[in-house]
Amino acid sequence: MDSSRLSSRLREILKGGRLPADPPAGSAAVGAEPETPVEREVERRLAGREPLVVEDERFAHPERHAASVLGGSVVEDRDGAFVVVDREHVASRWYGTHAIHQYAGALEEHARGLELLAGGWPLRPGDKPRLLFFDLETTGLSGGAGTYAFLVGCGYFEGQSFHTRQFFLPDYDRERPVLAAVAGLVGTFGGIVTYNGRTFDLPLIETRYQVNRLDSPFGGFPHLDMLHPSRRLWKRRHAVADEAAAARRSGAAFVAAAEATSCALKALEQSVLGTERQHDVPGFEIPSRYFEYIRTGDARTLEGVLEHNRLDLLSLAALTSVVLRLVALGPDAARTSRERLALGRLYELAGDTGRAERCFEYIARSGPDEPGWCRDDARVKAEALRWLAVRYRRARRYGEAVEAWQLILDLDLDPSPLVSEASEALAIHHEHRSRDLQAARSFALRALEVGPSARSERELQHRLDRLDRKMRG
Amino acid sequence: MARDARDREEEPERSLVPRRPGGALSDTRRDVQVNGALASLVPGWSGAERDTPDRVITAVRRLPPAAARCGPFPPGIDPRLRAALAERGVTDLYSHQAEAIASTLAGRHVVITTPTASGKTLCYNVPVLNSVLADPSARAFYLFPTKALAQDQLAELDHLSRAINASAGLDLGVFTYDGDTPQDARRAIRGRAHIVLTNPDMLHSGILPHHPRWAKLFENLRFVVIDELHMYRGVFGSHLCNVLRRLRRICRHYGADPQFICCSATIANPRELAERLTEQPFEVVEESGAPRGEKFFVFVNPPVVNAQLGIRRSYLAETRRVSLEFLARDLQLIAFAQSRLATEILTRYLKDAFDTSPGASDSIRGYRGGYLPKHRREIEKGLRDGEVRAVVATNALELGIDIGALDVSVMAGYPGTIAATWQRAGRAGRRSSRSAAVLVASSSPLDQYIVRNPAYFFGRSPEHALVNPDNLHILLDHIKCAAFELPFGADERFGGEDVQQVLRVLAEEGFVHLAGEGDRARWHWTSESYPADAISLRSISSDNFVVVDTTEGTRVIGETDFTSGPSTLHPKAIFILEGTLYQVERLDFDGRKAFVRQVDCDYYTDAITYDRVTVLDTFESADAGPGRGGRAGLAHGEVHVVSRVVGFKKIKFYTNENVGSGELDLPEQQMHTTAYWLTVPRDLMTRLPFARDDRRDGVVGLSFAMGQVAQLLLMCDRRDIGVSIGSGHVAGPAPSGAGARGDVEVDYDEPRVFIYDNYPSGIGFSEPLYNMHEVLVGKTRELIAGCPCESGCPSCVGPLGHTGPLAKKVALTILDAVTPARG
Repeated sequence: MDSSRLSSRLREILKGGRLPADPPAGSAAVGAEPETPVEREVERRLAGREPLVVEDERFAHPERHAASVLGGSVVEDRDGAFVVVDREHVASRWYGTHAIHQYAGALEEHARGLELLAGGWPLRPGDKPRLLFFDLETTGLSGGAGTYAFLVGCGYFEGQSFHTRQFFLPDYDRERPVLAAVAGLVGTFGGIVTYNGRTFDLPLIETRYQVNRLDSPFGGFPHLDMLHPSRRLWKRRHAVADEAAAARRSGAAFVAAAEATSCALKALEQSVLGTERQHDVPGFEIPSRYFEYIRTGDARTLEGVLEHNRLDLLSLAALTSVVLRLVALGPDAARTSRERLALGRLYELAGDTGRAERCFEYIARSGPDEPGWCRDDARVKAEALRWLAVRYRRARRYGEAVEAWQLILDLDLDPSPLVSEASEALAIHHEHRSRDLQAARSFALRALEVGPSARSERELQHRLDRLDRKMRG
Repeated sequence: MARDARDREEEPERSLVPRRPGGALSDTRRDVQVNGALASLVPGWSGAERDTPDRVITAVRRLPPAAARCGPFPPGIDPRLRAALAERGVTDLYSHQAEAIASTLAGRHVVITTPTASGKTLCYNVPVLNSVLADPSARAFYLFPTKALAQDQLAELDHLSRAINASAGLDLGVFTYDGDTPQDARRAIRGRAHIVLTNPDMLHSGILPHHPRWAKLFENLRFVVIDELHMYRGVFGSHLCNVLRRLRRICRHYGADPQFICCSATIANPRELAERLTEQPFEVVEESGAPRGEKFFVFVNPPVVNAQLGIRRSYLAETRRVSLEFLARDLQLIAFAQSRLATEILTRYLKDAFDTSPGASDSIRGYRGGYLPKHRREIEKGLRDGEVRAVVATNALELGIDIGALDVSVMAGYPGTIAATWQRAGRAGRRSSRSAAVLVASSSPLDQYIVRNPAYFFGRSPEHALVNPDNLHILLDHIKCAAFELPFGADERFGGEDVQQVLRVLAEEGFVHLAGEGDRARWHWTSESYPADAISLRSISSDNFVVVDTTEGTRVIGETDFTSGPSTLHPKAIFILEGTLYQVERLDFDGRKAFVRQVDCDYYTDAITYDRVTVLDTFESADAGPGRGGRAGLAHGEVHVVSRVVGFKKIKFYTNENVGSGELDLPEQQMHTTAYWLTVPRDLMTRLPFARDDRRDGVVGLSFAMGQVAQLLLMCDRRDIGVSIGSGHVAGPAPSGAGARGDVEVDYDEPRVFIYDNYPSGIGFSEPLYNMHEVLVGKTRELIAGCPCESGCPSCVGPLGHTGPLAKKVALTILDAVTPARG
């Protein structure tokens, strides 16, 4: 097929395959397409000619234009030039509820918590690893060999201030030198911290190293993915479900409700760090902004993307500092009893039962006479009491267990499996230990009334039958 | 004198309860039973070959038993592998195995085409395992057209690799990797597999786009095995060729250059197909050394019940009668039907016959695409252990799924190609006992031609498999995928079109971007999409319709590809799934869903489609030669096709009576494709001594017959080509006076018969058809002239009603007029 005919057929196919209802008989002649700057550039590059007109300069040396627009500097490398953008967030600057130097200080002071959060972080006594905060901006979310990281964002504390170093890909052929430079920087740190890096950022950049047949610096490198502890601490599964249901009933968008309690970094910025972004670039727009730059050579729309990436790095660092401090200081440092409850579970998961118990006991001591007490605090308290009751029972501390179950009922919560479980536990206690069959029967009845699980419903029926027999006999 | 088969129909059927369900017959007993069934089917049975085209039994052929021919193990086979093979009972090789293994070890690409059950898998397993034993870093891909076949081979290979692991102390990893592989197992497989059993679809969308994760495998890739090579023709083959282009491109990136080993059923051009698909030179191994038992091949033509209308007894009823003869003798049987619909009908017929005996109906099963995998595995197992006595299948069981060896293969209708017919016949046949294959002809012209001309079938080498990997739709899709996988160099080539020009257009549309200067310039993927996800290898458009049963709640029970959706799932259509009838209540065309409900009725439906073809470009044209009446023109080129389902007929089960019809208003489907066409000049037409309406009937009848013969010559499915009649002169303005349904006014005084590729951009049929024009016209003439009907029938120019009483005569006259006079 001759090339103009080939081109016109291809364009037709690419336009979605919808053909005109009645095509002209015979083939339509295809006139020469007007040349756009991009097409001109393609022909120039393929021919290996020097750029002729000023407009071409942007395509021929994209790094110069990008560096000047993005406020960075050009790094010349044997394999091609790229752009590095360095910024400093000074120690005294406030970010949310704290100043940068406070985050820096807490991070330094509580580094031991890494062991608990990352599980298996190779920490020797006295180690204070330098942490590199790491976040990519990419050309897509699907992964695979054709998804590129066009911006590699790195952040770290130096002294009391926070520094970011961003490696920018001025064109696709500069990937190799960028990756080599990133590997050089990573090697000077003791570990990296990401947000969702385990499933996204790290596999993606490792793929880039493999495509370029370079050694990845990340294999076996200590890595903390903050998404996981953050989820444990702040994801309110029940609350999400409740609010989503409420949102559906009231006709409001489900998404809004889900986002309010989601664990996206941006959501935590508001709820944990107490800061909010102005004019942030929404994540879904980022790839198309890079493609726009690639097509036009104009880097201005990318300023917002670099700023977005810097804020992600800063928030990630601040969040890490907050979590490490919380883990080190325990229940006293938690802001709400729900946070305390989650912290207790985090300890439990890490095998630190002693500290977990302290969290739950702290919550158990709270009560409605405290300022700001609300229904959710009562639910949290009930869950903490349940944890304690189970633990007491296992330790054969029956008196304390009964007291805890009773306290749950005293909270006067709405019917739920938890309330039913407490009533059932008390029924068991009265049937077998205190031998007060009348009390056992009324607890069992109550357990049945307040929404038991299907399994315990059957057991409760059996129990009631048995109690009735015993009482008759 | 032998009794006419027709007399036998009234005889009461024997007890149909298998005497020993699941019990195995001895070889001798089996020989006797096969002989007995044949004796009652074939009047005057003596076991002798015969050709009697005008009888019900039109041909009998005896394929003599053959003893094994063996060859030595080529030198250089690892003794540990020899030991493991011996443990599995393999101490000698058949001659074709020895030849294939020796060629592979000599570093050549090899394609093996020997019959079903001749031990083809050993031809690739031996060289592959041998290379892994020599170098444990060596890797191989095995490609099977379906997941089920890969599973089947895994079982076989597992035994062998376990034996080797035990004796050689190796950790040889053999795994399937496909859509069913759990996510958490995938990483382990990538790290541990020496041999990965997968399918082209998974390679295309799950492996190649993620090649960096497979870097270790690609660096060490020594072999790519492609089993069931003959399956890769038409659309699927054209896609596979491009997937292999991508595979080899990635291998080059990792410095590997794998060897190909292909296995194919018997086709005329195994070397050409293998070379076309892989773009590498091949060596062919085709002489089988495997033993086989005696086999009888019988052609059955259902008796004529109405000579005037040319109507024969229903071929499905005839298939039922034939099948029951074998079933009654406790022989295990596979019946092949041509379509999902026919499968369902035949299953129902056989079940009806068996339902008289309680508990026996589970021994008759249907099997086709669209059944759930678990359901299929159950049926396969039932066949192997003898619980299932008969299975009615589509071509889904034509492939090498292990169902053991059966006694009889009955084909309801000609499978469409010589190759597929042998493949299906090969499903019956054990190594040491007698077996039978029976082909029951339908009234379609193709079937009639085959059974009435047995020499054509038995004397001819099978057909050519055709592919068109440079179909622009397909090529463009795969260039996108390839650009995603690795940037394209500025001087790189890919396929038969100018890839640099394709990339320029993709750049305009923002899919790729050229980075770098001069000879370091490369085209990079610059889009968020993951292109492989949107591309299905089984069709040109990845669209399909799902079938939702709303009888009780809602549940998805099947699917249908986009192009056949309107004709099978239109409102009021009867959709059949393993004998159960459903009626389509609503077709959500935009949502690609058909809502059906179970019904109890005694008919099925057949859609009526109209289409209109416009020539866009003529690639080649010629005179058909100096005919007696003028010069007809033939050509091939690019066309635009508009088609629409405008109505349907209701057809009664068993009798095939037309019991009603309905009109439909469905959206048009359009495409660009390629076509062959024959134009009959005006002066020739108008000089014919027939009335205008009769001339029209003649053209309609001629096109019907030509379409049938084209299928025969092209080795393609009925749905792969379309036949349409247009006008020879340049089309006037929009069809004036067209029927309300868009039935275009055609000038039958200058008719043009189009045979087009029923796929966007064409799949490579038109040019071969143009080159075979003389054969096409000659065979069409033979078909029409040889048909015993009086004035046209479904077996030649189409049923009466479709054409008029003189259609046959006029069609022959036109053919005589356009064919060069024979000297």
